[in-house]
Amino acid sequence: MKTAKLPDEFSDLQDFVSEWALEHRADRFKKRYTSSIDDIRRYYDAIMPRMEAIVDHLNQFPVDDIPEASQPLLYMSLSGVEISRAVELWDAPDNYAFPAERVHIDQ
Amino acid sequence: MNKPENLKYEEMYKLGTEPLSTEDCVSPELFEQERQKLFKRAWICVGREGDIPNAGDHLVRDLDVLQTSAIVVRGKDNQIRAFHNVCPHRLNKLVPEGEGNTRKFMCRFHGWTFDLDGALSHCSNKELFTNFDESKFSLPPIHADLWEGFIFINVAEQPKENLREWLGDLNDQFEGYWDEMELRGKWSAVVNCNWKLYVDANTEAYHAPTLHSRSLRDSFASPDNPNCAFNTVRLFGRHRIGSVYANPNYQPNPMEELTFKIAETPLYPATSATTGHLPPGVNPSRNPAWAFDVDVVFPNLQFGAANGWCLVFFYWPLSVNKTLFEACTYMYKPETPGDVISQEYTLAHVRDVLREDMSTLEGTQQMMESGVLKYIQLCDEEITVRHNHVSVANFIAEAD
Ligand code: FES
Ligand SMILES: [Fe+2]
Repeated sequence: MKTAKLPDEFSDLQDFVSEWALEHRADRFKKRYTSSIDDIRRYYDAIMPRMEAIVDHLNQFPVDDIPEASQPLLYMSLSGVEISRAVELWDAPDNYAFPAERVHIDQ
Repeated sequence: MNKPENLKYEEMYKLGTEPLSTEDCVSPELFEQERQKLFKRAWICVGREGDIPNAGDHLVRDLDVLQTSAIVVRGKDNQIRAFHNVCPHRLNKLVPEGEGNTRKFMCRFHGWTFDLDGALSHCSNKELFTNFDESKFSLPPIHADLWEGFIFINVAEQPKENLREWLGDLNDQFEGYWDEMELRGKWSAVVNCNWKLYVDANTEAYHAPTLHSRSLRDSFASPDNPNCAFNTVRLFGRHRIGSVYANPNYQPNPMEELTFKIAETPLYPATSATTGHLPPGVNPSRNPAWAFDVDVVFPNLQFGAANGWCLVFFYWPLSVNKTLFEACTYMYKPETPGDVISQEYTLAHVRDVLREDMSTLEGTQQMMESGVLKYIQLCDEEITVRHNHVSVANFIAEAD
């Protein structure tokens, strides 16, 4: 699969697209708990300072009509939300909880 | 009035103070009684009207606890009906589990076909049957009714109470609450514990400052209320509403703070809740230091009702020590992409906090089954736990 090219102002995040621009919630959840905390932290450090700019960019568009070139930014920010707690709260890819792999994300 | 009402629930509700026996969580005989005398006589929620918006839309649920499979379908007349999922010919299961849309239900065994209202509409070679009376071969109906957009069924031949009577004073507590919300997330898991243990864990707040210390930090506790005492607990017959305190001085972590900032629709936790527009059953004490409520519609439906979003839990008993849990989150339609991002925080965070609650369940079930200790101890703030077990026991006792 060809990796999408981000809008120019977000080229600093280009290297993270293939791993973190995940459309489905189930994939973002799994990506978090199967990643190392170092990988998660690297992504967090890249995406966190850019979140507001991404939101400003995406908010130019209607919620159900984000142009294709900007969609990876939405998915990357959703991944950012997913992994943020690993860094900010748990210092681990997952919390101490019921096994993540036994949870089925239906939607 | 940031402090909880500090009521003595034990005095208010007279449910007793004695330790509770574990038997109703470990005994296969008691589970069988629950199945026959409670679940098969209860109004059970199977979904929302919005799950089947158009004529012919149907959902099929295999319900172990009711020992049947049910078809719930919207007819051409817009009526929602329910049937046992069985073909009256040689009792083949008519429709596979799942969702779909159809004009008629056709049995794939010999082709008997049924209208959406359950009537037999086609059978080939009728003349080969002796005294064939097609009016006798409609799909066996299940009682179905609606409340606030939720679909309830009752498999009793003649339910003792209709749905309004079943809900009693709960009827008017949530008027219009879900009207603008839509399903924004759903997940499920099979957990090896009794269904009541699971309800218990999700309906008391005494555990929050300990079990959730890392994920929720001090969002549910403050010097005013160090043990996360309920703002209020209100019992409505067999049903209950517990209103959970939130620390108004909680400082969100960075991503959480950002998602609050960019949200157009209200989010978790709702410490700054403006509650004027909420129906009386949501944040019933109108305390601004409020996170959400834990509501149980007896026996196995739970709401986590907040300002602008709501969890809906289904507990499906599979056996005495196995439960299928389904967690749905309803929210307002996102207005902006930023809204989508902020809603995602609530969805992910709540899911993982609930996984912390789930982390205790299988160990508790295991140790209950060991039989070393046969009683649980409950404090006044665990009135919701007591009410859960007492309501089930009373219902079964009265059913005889
Ligand atoms: S069992 Fe259904 S048509 Fe024969
Ligand atoms: Fe909890």
